[in-house]
Amino acid sequence: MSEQRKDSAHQMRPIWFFVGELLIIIGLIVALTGLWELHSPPAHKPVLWELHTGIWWGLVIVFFGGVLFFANRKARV
Amino acid sequence: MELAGTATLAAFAIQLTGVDWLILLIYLGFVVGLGFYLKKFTHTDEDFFLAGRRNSAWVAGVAFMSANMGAMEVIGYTGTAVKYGIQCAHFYLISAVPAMVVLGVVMMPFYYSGRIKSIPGYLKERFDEKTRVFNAAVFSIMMVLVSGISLYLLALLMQAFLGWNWHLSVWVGAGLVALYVSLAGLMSAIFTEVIQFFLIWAGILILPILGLVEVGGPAEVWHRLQQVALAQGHAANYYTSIWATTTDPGLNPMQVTWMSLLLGIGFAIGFGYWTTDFLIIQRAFSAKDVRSARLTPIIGSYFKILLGTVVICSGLVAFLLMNQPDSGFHLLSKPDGSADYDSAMPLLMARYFPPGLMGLGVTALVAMLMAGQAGNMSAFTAVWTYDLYHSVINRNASQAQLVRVGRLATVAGLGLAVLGAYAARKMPTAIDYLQAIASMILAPGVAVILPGMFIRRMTPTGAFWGLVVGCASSFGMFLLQQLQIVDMGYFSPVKGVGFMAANFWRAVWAWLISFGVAMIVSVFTKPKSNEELKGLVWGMTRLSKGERVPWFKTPEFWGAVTMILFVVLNVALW
Repeated sequence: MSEQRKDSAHQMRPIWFFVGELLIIIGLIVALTGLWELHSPPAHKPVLWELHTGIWWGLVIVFFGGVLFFANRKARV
Repeated sequence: MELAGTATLAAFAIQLTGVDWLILLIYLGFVVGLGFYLKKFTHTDEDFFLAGRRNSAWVAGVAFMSANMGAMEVIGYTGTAVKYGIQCAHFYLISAVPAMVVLGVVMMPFYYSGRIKSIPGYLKERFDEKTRVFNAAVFSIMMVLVSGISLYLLALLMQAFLGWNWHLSVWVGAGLVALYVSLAGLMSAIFTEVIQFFLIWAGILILPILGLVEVGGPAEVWHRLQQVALAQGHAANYYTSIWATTTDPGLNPMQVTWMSLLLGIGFAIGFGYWTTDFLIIQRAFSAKDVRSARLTPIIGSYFKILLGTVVICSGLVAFLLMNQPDSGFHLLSKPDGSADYDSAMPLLMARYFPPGLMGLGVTALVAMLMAGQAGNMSAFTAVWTYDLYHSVINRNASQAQLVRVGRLATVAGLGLAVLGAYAARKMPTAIDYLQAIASMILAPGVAVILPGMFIRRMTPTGAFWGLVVGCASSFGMFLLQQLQIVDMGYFSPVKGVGFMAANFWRAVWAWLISFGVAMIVSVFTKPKSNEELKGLVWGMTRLSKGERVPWFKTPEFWGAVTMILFVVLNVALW
């Protein structure tokens, strides 16, 4: 293994960082869309609409993504 | 299961809003961006084909499961649960957990070594070059065929549920996977598999929760399944028992007996898939040390059980809604008028998911396709490059040449898969049987590899002929049944079995024939010397099981815990 490869390999971010980043973005979009739909509901409401699944499930995804993101934001592998 | 009613494909299409498209595009952009990011870290052949052997047990374990979570696995088995009820649990328990534990605890120390980079590579060390080349050639053909078929099926799914153009779905799907896998090989395949794993869970975990809320909870599901069984003239436990109804094939919806379950999916098919299919074992090869590699399938076994819970709950909810006339829930029908069970999961998404969440659900479906394709291609690429190109065509290839050949093989493999998808479109009935053939190919592999780890006397010539005759005989049995020269139950000791049990019994016979031929030929041929078998056969040398760690961090401990969970679940669902 060359020195050059060792150096660059040590700079790689762990996969959990990227997973956290993506989950935060997608979870936020899902939750914010759910909140928006409180204001203007869709024309065809899905079954169990009254549970507002998008809001709380989006927040669960954001929370999970946040844990992964902050735990790994400074890590390198 | 009896159908309450079906709707036609044309009458249904999920409508995506702008926000749903945004989620899908963010995911696709992320995956391609990661491929470019990881290319900077891909220098050697080991980086490209084994992800640099730097992954933790968790990364390898998650990727191990993700490679198993293709669209057909998740969507297909939800449909299987609609069709067969709780008996679908066998595909997540007896067919998976024991084999995954044996792989981690017993077999991985043989596989994981600096000189072995693939399953055919192990066969070369344990037996000889011809056994390796035969296995590599059969595996490569299988990977390309399976890849083509799954590409065809996914494009069909996108066309049916989202109204997307079939040709565009095939080319865009194959193009994206070719792009990011060719950039950084197994490293980008594993990174995206881990991302896909979380997206798939985010998209499907909520489905059974909402389904159980609508139906009234697990106890109500159980009660209503028994009521439906009684109304159809079956025993009350027809849909709710996994073992008690297997004394006679007529007593359960899968039309199987306990013996075909134990020997067929429990041993020949389950062990064939989980302990010899390089597609998934390659993820364990990417682990940073032998302990992490041994933990990889054991971590995967917990997710496998959880996936089974999600898939089966979703399937049972869909079944109950179908049988509830006022629910308005109908499975789609195929062109021949029969029920399309694979439509259950997308239909449940359409039923429960509002905009935004629907985008996540569709992204999960696309992620399933890409996870499966990337898995097929990274395994195909490694076997083609190491076990066919480097072994047969160019023995003196440099590291740079191997990486270049790997990149070309990824693109060429996906090109062949696209051709396979078009071929499947011309003969759609062939696809119903391809998965069955694939599992039949794996049974001869396990008949040679697993005993070969324990029986020093098994010779290279014996193993080679065991594999050849085993594969030929399983194809022969399949053709005899398909051409209706013999009936489905011909190879089963019990009469009245169905298509599923016929698959199981063919696998059992393929295993027995392979093992028998390998042992008989071994009696008359020369085995390898003890020196040559060091580290490859049980008892020849002390195997490295990794550094010493506290007992609660050992693969043996976590393997025992998952086996206890396995027994508890089997007893609870008895």
